[in-house]
Amino acid sequence: MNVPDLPNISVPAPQLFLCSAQEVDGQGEWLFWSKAPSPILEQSIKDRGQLVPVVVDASGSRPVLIAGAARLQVLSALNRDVLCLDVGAQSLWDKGCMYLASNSQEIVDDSRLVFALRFFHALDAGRLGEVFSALGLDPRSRQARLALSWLKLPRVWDELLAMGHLSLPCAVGLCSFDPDDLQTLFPFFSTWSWSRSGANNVLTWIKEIMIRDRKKAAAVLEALGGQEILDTQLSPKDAMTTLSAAIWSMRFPHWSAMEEKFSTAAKAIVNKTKWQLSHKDQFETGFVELTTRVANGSELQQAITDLVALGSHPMWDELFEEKD
Amino acid sequence: MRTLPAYLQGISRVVVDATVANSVLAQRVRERLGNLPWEVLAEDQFLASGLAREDILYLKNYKGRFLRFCPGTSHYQCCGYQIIHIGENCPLRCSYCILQAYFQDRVLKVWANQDDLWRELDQAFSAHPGRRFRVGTGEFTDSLVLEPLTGYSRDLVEFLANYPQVCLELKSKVVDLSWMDKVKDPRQVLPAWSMNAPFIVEHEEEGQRATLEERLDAAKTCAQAGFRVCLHFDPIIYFPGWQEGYAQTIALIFEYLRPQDIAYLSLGSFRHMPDLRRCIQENFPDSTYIYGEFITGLDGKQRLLRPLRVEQFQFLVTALRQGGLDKQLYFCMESDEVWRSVLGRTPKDFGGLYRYLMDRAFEK
Repeated sequence: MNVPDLPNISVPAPQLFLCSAQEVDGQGEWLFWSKAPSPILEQSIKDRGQLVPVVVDASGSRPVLIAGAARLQVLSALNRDVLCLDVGAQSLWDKGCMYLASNSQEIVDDSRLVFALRFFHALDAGRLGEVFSALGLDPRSRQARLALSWLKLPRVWDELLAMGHLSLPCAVGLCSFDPDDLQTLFPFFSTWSWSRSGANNVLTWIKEIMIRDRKKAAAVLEALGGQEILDTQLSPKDAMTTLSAAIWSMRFPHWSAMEEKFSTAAKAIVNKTKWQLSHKDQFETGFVELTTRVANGSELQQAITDLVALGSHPMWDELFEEKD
Repeated sequence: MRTLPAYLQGISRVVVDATVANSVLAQRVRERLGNLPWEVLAEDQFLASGLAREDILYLKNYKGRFLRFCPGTSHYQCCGYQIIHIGENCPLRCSYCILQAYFQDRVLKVWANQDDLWRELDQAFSAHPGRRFRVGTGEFTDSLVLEPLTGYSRDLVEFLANYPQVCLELKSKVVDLSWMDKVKDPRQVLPAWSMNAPFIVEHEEEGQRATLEERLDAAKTCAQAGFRVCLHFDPIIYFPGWQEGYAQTIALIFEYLRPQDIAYLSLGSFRHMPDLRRCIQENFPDSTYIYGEFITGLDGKQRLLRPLRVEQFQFLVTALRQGGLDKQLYFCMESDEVWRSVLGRTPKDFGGLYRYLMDRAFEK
């Protein structure tokens, strides 16, 4: 049987033994990447049995699992004995390192990186270089720096990262909020899954409103009806769009009012035609742009007829109100 | 030894390039800052300012061009003024200042090879004896802030006396009139001060800048001595209570100056690149005006939403016109649309801003 490479472990030498799966304590905090076993693993163990032993510390009253949580879970469900490799008593740090080494084939995505760093950071923040090295990650890389920023957030946010509701780059924005502001923001991110840019925009605008108006996040979100949007029956996408638009309007009140006014007038002017009317340059100039698409001569004729008609629309005055 | 103004008392070191260590300017500085360590850099050495949190005065052998056009900006109307480059950076601490993004250190650089400067200026001015030059030194530094140490403006006005086709603007936020007695013809020099709302001066111009009253009092002294002065409302900042603030400053201007004392007055809205915004957030966390409604202008810089700029400009222009100023008013880096809507004219209507300001500078 192949025995995995082990670090330089002091005596006694690793020993293999069999015991009941239920007997093994599989609750260690170093099992930071634990997840439900895959159907493939379940089938494999059913068909061929356990091919690789789990790693345990058997120095205490019952074996403590160091690595092999998924195998243990399957064997426990099948009520079978488990083949254990006893590596003896280990420090928490070393248990974590052994777990990391046993799972070195796993893809280390952002949330896994954060889970691993969370464990080791709590033990000895000064030794994180060893962890980055074990993960094959440059500690100066953007991913590493963002993950370290993320650790400043309360642990409850880690789950949102794992669920894909937020991405690692949001760490920068989130870390600019106080703990009570983060608590206020939490439901808006635990309820919906945000794109990276969507989340960053919302966080930036809320923070800027807070600084500008000297308000807490709770006051900002209350003023824009955040709770009502949260309680709404809208689809997640529509709810997020509604919330983002409300925050943007509060952050840019004049600009959003101009956009709304323009949009109303533009819709009225090009109504029932194929023309589209837009403004350019974020109102820095008074120019508007009319565009259409035609595929043949008759569509072209229709577009010209429509253009002539819409040229005398009374709403143009609304649109050119800002014109100098 | 003379007591230095407070804004120069933060200088902790003087560094000088070996090639200019014996220059007139370096000797003058040495005499005035004899109490500070004097460090000479050999020709192959560079000043490593690192993360120094105290001002370092660096007397440098400058090898670039001394006379150059203001970089201006694309898509907007620029005034076309020329810079006499005498140094870089400033010991004042104005939150909105672009120099903190440009230089990112606390090194006050002074070009000490003045002979090279005089040579280049002489060549430029002598090559075109019939051509007028409107020049200034206040682009990359405050024109007068280092004057007590370097006497640079004093040297410059003395030098320019031989070139009557040159008009020099000295733009500042401090009061130093020690250069005045070297001016032969006051029409050749335009002392200029930065104006803003009292709240902005108090909260956003940290450091030992002069108060508005001190600046205007100095301007009045200059006007009484036969100079015409320039005033610059730049950057105009959108903040709660801006109307009262700018109205107060404008009222103050007319307590000290008559319209005919003012050669020209510029108006410029706060605009910035992303780098500056980051500097302000880090260096001046209490400055909230950066969270105004800024859009990306045609030149890529962040600018206040146009109707808000126009609202501010119209307010200031109305008040300035009531005081008797009109022809003196111009915008720094604005579009024709803004010119038209606020002043009712565009630079094209009067032959271009460059020519117009040149005429105003040389108006007798």
